[in-house]
Amino acid sequence: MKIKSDFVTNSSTTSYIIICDGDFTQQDLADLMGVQKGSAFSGLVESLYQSLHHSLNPARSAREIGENYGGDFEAYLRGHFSEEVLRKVLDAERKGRSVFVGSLASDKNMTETFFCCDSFEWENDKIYINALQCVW
Amino acid sequence: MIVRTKSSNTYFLILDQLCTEQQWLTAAGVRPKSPAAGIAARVYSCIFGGMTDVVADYETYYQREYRDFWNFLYWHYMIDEDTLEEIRGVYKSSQRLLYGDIHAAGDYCLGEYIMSEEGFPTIKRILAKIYKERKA
Repeated sequence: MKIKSDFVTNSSTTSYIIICDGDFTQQDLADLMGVQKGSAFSGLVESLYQSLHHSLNPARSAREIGENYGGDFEAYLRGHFSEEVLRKVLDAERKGRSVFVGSLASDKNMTETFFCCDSFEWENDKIYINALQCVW
Repeated sequence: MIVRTKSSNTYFLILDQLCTEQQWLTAAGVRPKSPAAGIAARVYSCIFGGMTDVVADYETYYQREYRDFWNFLYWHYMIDEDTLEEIRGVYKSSQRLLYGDIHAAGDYCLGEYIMSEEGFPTIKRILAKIYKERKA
């Protein structure tokens, strides 16, 4: 057993899933969020995009699926998200859409910390983002 | 104008008049009913929720206890001299002087983001846009 006698900090991560047509771009995220050109929230979009892009992986090859779910993609989706999301992902794959997974951490920059602590599900006709898994 | 105190959670707003949530959302440059509009509305609640009217409080409850208004500001809010001088340099008696705690509205992670070096410029941009437009 280890005993820590100094300040103890806590950090958290939240998994997310993105379904989109082709590549996931910053403009796609701005459109999805409803941030208009020249908006004061442009910096927030840019920072969130960088955070998402940094941890983004094609869903079926995500390392965690191999390490924690024995390569069972559907078990991973059930475990991290829901049956509804699983159906949505399988349907998207049948239609040739891209599916990505990743995680946001609370010990990175303040934008990532905010979205890691928040939970959200956004969708338009091009993109679906689900980060509902984290509830603080 | 918004002035952060050294405590980082609290701030003073110096305004010609209060703005409505709709004015705030318009100045933020977010599409109505979008995810960004939801975040911008939460930011508005964090900033304006539970604000104290500093001058009204002074005149109603504290005027007899302090040498003058600036002495009251310094001791009652326990602000440092730099912050006091910054307020004194811009505040005009015809304006509203409001004091707030970013966590009063209870939206903790968003409050932390707003007061951070990443989030604070967003607030300053929105306020500058609202009050510049009003003067035009």
